[in-house]
Order: sequence, then C-alpha cells, then structure tokens
Amino acid sequence: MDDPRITSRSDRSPYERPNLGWRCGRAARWDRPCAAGPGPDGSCPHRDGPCRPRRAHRRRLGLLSLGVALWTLAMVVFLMTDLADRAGLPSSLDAGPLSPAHAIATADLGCAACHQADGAGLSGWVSVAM
Amino acid sequence: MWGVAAGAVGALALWRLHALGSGRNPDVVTGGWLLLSVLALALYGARRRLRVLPLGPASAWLALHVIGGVACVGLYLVHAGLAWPSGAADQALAALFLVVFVSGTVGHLLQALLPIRLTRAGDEIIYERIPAEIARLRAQAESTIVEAASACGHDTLGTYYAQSLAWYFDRPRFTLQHVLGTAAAQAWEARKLAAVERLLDPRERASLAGLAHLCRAKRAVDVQYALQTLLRRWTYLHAPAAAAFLVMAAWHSMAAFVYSR
Repeated sequence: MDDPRITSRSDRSPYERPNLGWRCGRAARWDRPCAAGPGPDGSCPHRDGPCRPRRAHRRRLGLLSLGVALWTLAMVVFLMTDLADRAGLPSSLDAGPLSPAHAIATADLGCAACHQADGAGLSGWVSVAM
Repeated sequence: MWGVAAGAVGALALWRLHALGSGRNPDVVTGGWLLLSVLALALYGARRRLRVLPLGPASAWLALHVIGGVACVGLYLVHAGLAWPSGAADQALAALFLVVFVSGTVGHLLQALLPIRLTRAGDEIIYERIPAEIARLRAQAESTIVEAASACGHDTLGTYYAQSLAWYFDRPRFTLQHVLGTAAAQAWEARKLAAVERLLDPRERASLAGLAHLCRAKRAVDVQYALQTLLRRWTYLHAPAAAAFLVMAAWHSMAAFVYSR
C-alpha cells in the first residue's frame, strides 16, 4: 500500500472526489495538483502563483445540458413568432402538410378552420386548454 | 423486468388498435405514457446527483434506465409509427429521440466493454489522479536525464529527450490510437529509443533502459486516460440531447393537447 495511486487512506493520498464541482488548474495542465485543491466556489486558495481551477466533468455536463435545454426552449418560442415566419423559418408548430382533402377544406382559414387555438396566442391557448 | 416492460408496451399497442377500431383518438394516451416514461428516465440523471439520499443502489437505477430506454422505443413506435414525420417540429423531435437512443445504446455498450480492456491494461488509476501520475513520471524521466548527464559529462540523452521524448511525457498522447487499440504508441516509443541508442555510451544506455521503463509506464497511464475519457465523454452527447428532447417533448405534448380541442 505504499503506492500513492492505490492507497485509500485519506492521510496518505490525495482525496480526489469526482463529485466536486472544480478541479485544480495545475492538474488541468497535466501538472501535480495542489494538496488543498480549489474551494467550493472554484477559487484557488494560493496567493502566490494561483492557478485557474477548471470545472469538473459532472459540472460541465450539467451546465451543457442546461444550456442546450434553454437554447431549445428559446428556439421553440422564437420559431412561433412572426419574425421567424417572415424570415422563412419553419414554425415550431409545423405538423407537416395536410392530406389533399383537408387542404381543400382549410384553404381559406388554414389551421384555424379546425383548431381554435391556432393564432390565438398564449392567452388563447390557456383559455382553450381550460 | 424486461418481460414487464415488453408486456406493458404490448398492452398499450393492443389498446391503441382497439381505440382506433372504436373511432377514438389514442394518440393523447400513447403520447402521455411516452412522456411519462421519458420523464422517469430523466430521474436517473437526478439520482446521480443525489448520492447522499438512500434511493437504492445505482446499479438498480441503471438497469431500470436501460430497460426503460428500450421500452421507450416501443412506446415511440406505438405512438408515432415507423414513418418519418413530415412536419419540421416533429422531425426535430424524432431526430432527437434517435440521437438519445443511439448515443445511449453506444454508451451502454462502452460501459460493458471498456472496463474489460481497462482491466487487461492493468495498473488501473483513478481518473482524477492521472495528471498527478503523468507529472510523477515526467519528473522521474527528467531526473533520469539529469543523473545521466552528470555521470557521463555530456548531455546527448538530455538533448534528445528535450527534442522528442519531452513531448511524450508532457500530457496524454496517442489517445485515439489507444481507443482504437492500435500499437502506434509502442511503435513510436521503440522508434524513438532505438534512434538514440546507437549514439550513447554504455553508461547512458543504462539510463536509456530506465527511460524505456518510464515510457512503458506512461503508455499504461495513457491507455487508462483514453478509455476512461471515452467512458465519460459519450455522455456529452447523450445528456444534452436528452435535455433538448425533454423540452421538445413537453412542447409537443402541450401543442397536441391544445390543438386537440
């Protein structure tokens, strides 16, 4: 158990916890990480020659997933607006073309011929849903 | 559990046929079950972040996640069929479902296969300790070079190390080759060490043997880094795609509900 890589004693080996949000900036540059490691807020405790701690894998994955979810939500909302429509972008309500028989029946009014919610805005959606 | 999941999907498929036969629209019900199942699958991600709570073993959660994921494919087919949707929003939803399922399947296979290769590679190292291990090997290599130079009185080995081998000890190398399982790193090491061997005197050759030993240790660390990185990085596609799918699925459900009135 002298090998520092395999010892599990906290007083003899660095205690690297994968669930911590930050990792030492020196380790990110493939150098030996500081014994103290970064603080919970991602700050380096060293005053002389502080490093720039990096986000750990799990923290990065969480932020990436949250960012993608928010971006998707923003795109869904944007693609409903007139601005996106004028730009020729597909609507987030685009359910595809209708069958020929339905296309003739709804030629004048469009989707609103059958669906009250179409073009009613958010308040219209709420009233239709209720 | 597999039987329960298959039975539930089969029962829903039969109910859908019955509902269609009696003139009812089954899509709200099948879509609702699909949305609920996907939300249940997303709980696995939350479970990984809540380690302190006694929520059962992670292996049981993973098994449920895998079985539920495969069941969701069946639910998706019951809800939407095999045809590729024609609307842009539905196409985006179908594409995201495909990305989540394929990335999850690949990830599950990696989690089953790579630990075997990691064990065969030997000398398993905790991923977070790899930078410190590389720093230790680099320091040992540099110390070997300094000792050789002071013992021999010239720095042929030192100059060669700075020109070629320092690159190797700087950080993990040959990552892709190690993932693919090729012997590129071993061949590179052999070529570099053989190129300098004929220029050295006997005392320096002893130091070169020590350097060759450190190269082998570094290669073992690089294999650990490459495979363990792959074990983590596939989630960079799966989790964000799943998050985007959840948003799109919630949106699709809301729009379908409102437009069904």
